[in-house]
Amino acid sequence: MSKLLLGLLWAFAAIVVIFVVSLPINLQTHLIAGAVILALMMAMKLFRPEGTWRLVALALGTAIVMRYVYWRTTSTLPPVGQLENFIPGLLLYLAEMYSVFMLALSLFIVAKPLPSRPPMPMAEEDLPHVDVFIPTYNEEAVLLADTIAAARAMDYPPERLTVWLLDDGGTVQKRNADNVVAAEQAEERHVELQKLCADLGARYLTRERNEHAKAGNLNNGLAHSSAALIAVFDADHAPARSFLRETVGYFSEDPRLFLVQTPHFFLNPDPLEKNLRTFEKMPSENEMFYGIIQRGLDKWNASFFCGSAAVLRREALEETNGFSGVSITEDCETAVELHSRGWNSVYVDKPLIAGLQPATFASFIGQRSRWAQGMMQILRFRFPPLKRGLSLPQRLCYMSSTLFWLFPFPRTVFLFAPLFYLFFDLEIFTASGGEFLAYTLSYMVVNLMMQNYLYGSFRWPWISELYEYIQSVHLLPAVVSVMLNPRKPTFKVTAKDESIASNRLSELSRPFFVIFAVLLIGVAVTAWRVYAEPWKADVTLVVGGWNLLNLIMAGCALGVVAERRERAATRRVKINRRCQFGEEGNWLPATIEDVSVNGCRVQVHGKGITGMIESGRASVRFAPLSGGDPAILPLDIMNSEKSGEAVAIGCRYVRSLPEHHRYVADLLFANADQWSQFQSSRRRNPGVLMGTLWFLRLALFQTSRGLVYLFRGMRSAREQKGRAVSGART
Amino acid sequence: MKRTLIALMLLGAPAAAQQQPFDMSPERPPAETLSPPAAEQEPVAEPAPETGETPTAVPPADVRRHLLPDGALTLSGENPSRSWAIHLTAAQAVSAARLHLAFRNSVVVAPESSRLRVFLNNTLVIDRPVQAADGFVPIEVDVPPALLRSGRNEFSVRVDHRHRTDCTVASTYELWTELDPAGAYLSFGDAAADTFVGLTDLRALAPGAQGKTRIEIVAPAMERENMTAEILQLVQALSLYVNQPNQEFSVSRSPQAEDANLALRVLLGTAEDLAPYAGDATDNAEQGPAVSFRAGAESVAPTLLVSGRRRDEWASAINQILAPVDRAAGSRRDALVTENWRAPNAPMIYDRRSLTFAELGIPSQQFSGRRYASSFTFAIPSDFYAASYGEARLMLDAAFSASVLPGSSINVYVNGNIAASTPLTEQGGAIVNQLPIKVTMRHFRPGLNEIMVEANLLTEQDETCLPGAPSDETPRFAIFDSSRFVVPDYGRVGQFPNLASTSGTGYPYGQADEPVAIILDGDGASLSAAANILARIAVGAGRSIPLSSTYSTDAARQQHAIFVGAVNSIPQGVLAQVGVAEEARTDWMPQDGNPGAQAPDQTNLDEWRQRMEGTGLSDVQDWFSETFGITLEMMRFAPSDDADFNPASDDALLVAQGLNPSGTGVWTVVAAPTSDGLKAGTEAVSNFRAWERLAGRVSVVQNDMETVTSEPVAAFSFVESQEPTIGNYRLVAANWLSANILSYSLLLVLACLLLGTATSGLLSRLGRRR
Repeated sequence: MSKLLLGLLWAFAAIVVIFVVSLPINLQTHLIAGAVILALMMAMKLFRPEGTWRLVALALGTAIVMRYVYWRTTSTLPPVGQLENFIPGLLLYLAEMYSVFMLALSLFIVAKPLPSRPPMPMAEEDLPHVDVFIPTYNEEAVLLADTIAAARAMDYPPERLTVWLLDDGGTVQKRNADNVVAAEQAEERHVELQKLCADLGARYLTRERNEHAKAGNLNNGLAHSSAALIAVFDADHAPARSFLRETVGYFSEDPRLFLVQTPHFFLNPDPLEKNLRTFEKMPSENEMFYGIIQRGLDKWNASFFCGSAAVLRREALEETNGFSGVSITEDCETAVELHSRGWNSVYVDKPLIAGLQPATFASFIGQRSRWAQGMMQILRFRFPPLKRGLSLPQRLCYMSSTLFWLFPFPRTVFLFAPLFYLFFDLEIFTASGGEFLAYTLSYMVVNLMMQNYLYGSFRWPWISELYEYIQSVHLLPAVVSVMLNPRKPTFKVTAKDESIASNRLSELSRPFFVIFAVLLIGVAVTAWRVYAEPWKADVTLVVGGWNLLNLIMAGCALGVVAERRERAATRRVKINRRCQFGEEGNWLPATIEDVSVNGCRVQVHGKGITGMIESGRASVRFAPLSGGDPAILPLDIMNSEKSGEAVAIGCRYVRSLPEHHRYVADLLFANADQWSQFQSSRRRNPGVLMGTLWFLRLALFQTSRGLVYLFRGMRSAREQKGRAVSGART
Repeated sequence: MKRTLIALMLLGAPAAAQQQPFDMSPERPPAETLSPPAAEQEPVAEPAPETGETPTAVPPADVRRHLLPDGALTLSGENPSRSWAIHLTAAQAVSAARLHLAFRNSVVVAPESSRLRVFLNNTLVIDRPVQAADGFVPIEVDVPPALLRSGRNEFSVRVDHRHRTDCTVASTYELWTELDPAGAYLSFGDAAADTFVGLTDLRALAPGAQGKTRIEIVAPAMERENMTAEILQLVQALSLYVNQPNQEFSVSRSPQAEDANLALRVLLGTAEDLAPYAGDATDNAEQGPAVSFRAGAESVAPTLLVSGRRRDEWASAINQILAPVDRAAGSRRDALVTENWRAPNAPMIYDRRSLTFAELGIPSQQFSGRRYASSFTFAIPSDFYAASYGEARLMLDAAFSASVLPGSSINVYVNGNIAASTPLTEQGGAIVNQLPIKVTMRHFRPGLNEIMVEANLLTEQDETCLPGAPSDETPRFAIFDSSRFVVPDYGRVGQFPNLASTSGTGYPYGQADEPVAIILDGDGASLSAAANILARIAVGAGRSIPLSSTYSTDAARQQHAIFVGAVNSIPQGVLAQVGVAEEARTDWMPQDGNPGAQAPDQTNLDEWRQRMEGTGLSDVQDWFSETFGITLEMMRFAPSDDADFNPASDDALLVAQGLNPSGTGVWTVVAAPTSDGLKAGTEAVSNFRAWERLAGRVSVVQNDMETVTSEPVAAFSFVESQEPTIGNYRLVAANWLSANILSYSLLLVLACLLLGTATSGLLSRLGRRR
């Protein structure tokens, strides 16, 4: 009853706002209202509003956005009579309306994200059996060893936990490939991984043919196993000890629960973070999704499966004959299907796995192309907005998740729209300079403020735009192609273990430089036109300003595609764990400061260390978090550095025995809290103003870095060519 | 004519290259430009009646029919033109006639390339160089036989001016030709042209040599009986027939001295009363109500007798006069009738409407000068309430040639105020098709409005401006009559007080069914003054307003009322009711001398102050208010209260309006310091030009009898004037909020507060909660 009343009240309030917003007031009134609302939103920001006040601030922002939409719709479209203006004008309008629509969906989803869920402890004897699936295709054994070891080390009764390595790189089809070398490699892999599994206490499973890619592989696993729950980890996603304890409990609470999803936490930076050096200080790209959006989706029972780091119920999967494989994003597709059949999902907002993400720009784009194409396929084949069985909020949520990937279209339009005016003199936006300033500027600033209110500490200003821009350039053709041929794209495994040996430009960097050059010409044209055509300087300046904004973005992107050499193959994680350093019979007290997949850094106290350093070999002894006997992990000493009483020693693991993998996993993955700590250290909201200034500085620097890489690359290419020519002469 | 027009319309579509009369190629000789509408003679509709007279031989002009309705007519700019209607009696139409004009022009007009053309019923009757820089030059031509018609005739003057030496846009403002009202008339050979026969001939009443239509009403019994309401009823009826922009009534007990410029004398009263003045003409009044022109008048002006045996009979005679021209209250008008001084009539725009230039009287035209200007009129109802937010549009079909440089512009003026300026930014010529130009409604006012479209055309040729070079007649610009004026639905609600709507459409009196109380101070002068005011109100309203004469304020407490009198004779309490300080009774003394002698110094001081302070912050302020038009006084939540108005000593006449004490009607006070001042002041506002400047809650006419200033209304009372619809409420709200800017912000913030709170409440009950 009170729900109905509140609903009516809400509808009334919404109608009042729409009425007030759609009054055809004059420019001055709008300008003042815009200024008042902006001032209010800024003032409220100081009090870090929560709950109702946050929603009031968002409502204020929404009002300005709606006023912009009203104005844009009623007064700015070019007359239909002028087709050369009307068509690009309409495109721009549609692009803007798409952005506003996506903002509206986001507002719905993250209006009130669920707070973090309390854990659901279960009695030991009630714990269900769990099958852990680790699908693999071409990953190296060492990487798999860590994951398997971490999975095996999870805090769970061992008799109810089965770890399956689902190998698609050693299928019968691969082993009998026509290419002898490939067949040989597959055979070797088949044998090697079987041994690894046997050593680490996991089960190895492969199949006849590589059908339906990852979904087919998982379904093969389903067919050969029997536990009530399935946990899925990507080959490079190693779970923490507490993973199952934190997730399994929810299944007993809700018998219709099909999914518990947890965030993906990455130990290495993505190419943007690496090349702009923001990994340590700025929240990662996916934190917006896992930190806010999934929690928002969870409120509407629409949190979806992200392919890894999740637990699923076999009973639910059997209803749909396993994982769906129509699209190349089987995870989301499976979730849509099960949600539409009345199954529920839950999201646990705590990083419980650590993994790797693509390190090069090319593989990053490859991964995003797959996501974009897969989501387009889901949109095409499942069309969530009209799918039977989904609740209205779920439809909206899936609509947002899939339509999001259309962003390359509006991005492209925004990029080129000012050039229509600057180069071809087309008036695709009929407004005076003053109107443009009053409406568009207030809209843009309010938009930034709203983003800040919604995602504040998870996403800094302009970073979304930067990510969208760098993806758009290559995603646009990918999305267009999937629209034309929805069944064509095939699943490609994203490479995540590449490293970059020297500073270089990404192989996909060329279009970014071309775009940058074109926009730069746009700036020159702006200056020339302001000088040569003073009678329309106001419009030229406004459009030129827009173009300049695009140029700043494009310049920053040059930095993203100028890939830095990376020294450490993987990132180090600070753990500060007590241990002993030395060798049998001679143990010195020490602290492991940080660890990576390959090695660690140990701070050793006491004398007698010098001899050990000279020998170049040592071990660390520590108590594993999983309990049991103290672990002894042999090390190669790579370097040392004296600091006061103590010596800091850099070491590399020597993994000679199977349990060494377990020890590394224990150091690196066992404790999930350290990841949470790392994340929260980056979650800082710089605010719109400081964030914008920071971004401007960043963009300026990155532009110059990108250009330096370009010229250096051109020079070395010339030198190589010169060498080749002189070589030919001799 | 028709063919050229069609060709022009085709030009709107870029396809018709072959038949373009508007040819931009330079090698062809100047195209035979659009000749003015009447180059080809139209057949005259009515055959000339057989009178046996030879129309060519026009005897010396005895009977004159003056032509200029509004005094001297100045035509300025490069292509000015003006049309209006002239009503003639049947006798005038058949008589042989000569057309007389007298004109002079600015010395800078180049006679060899400037022409004055006059058309009568679309027939060219005068076409001659503009060469009268030294003084008025009379022109005389015979009007071709059978050209004049009984009833409505159309008269138009068209001038093409070129400057002798200068080629700038600014120089075009120095170009003018003036027609002298005394020298502009038709002279008729037939003495019968002077006789008026029936009521319809009242329409043919002509202005005098000063361009003023004077009507004298003689009511011998006016002091004996209270004839006020009836006299004013008669005045209204006559004004609706005559409908001249500059008409002046006087009411007296006995005929005044003969005046050659008197247009009509009306004798009103019982046959007995009128006998001394009308002689045997009152004979038919012996049988009952009678309206007749007095035959064989010895007076110069025609004399109309309105008489009967008793009061009720002459009163019903008034109603006979009124009946053909009256209009029921509340019926809609299609147009405001202005054709007696400006044709075509101004169409009424009540709501969303789109009018082509053809309908508005702007023909397709090509233009080879520097500043094209053309204007049209339209009318807006009295409950117009969209000045703060409204926006109309001009959808322009035009073309400009390759010689037109960017930096040229199209400007739109509304009632003389700049409302839009659109730069032409394309180089190399262009044809624009329905180019939208937003025209703010800020300067719209109830009643008649004028929009002027002006194209300032810059060319390289003009920049060089070779002295003595023959003027180039290659068209640079063309405007097509398929262009449109588009008005959206706008807010409509009646506002009290609002002198602008009273002057524009006689609101609210024009809509009254119940008699409007008229309260005079009992002086003959105040009756003449009231006659002038009511004549204008009736013309604005397009109908006569029912009146009841009273001396008591109490009787008018619940009513609409009009008070006319010297300021100290206005009843107690009335001044306060219309927002005028009671001290005005004693303090407001007439003063001769220079009107507004103080003002220039004051503005100079302000200017100096601004100039001195014009740095730093105020620059930003200036930029801000220039770009966005925001000033500090606009920043308000609600209108402030009006302070009482105190007229200054150099004010000659005061017109003030306010609600009646019960809030159910509107009181208007017309007052002057003295009775003489009242007469002079109301005669001044009986000229349409002054009348239409009345606005706000108080307007004053200054001593020069020309300057009208007004006090804006801060707080209106609103009166529902429409069927209540959400659409109209929305527009009214939009206008109110656009005028009270901060209220909009407040409203928006409150609405958002409500929405945010409701959303929060709803979200805590929808979806998962933990």
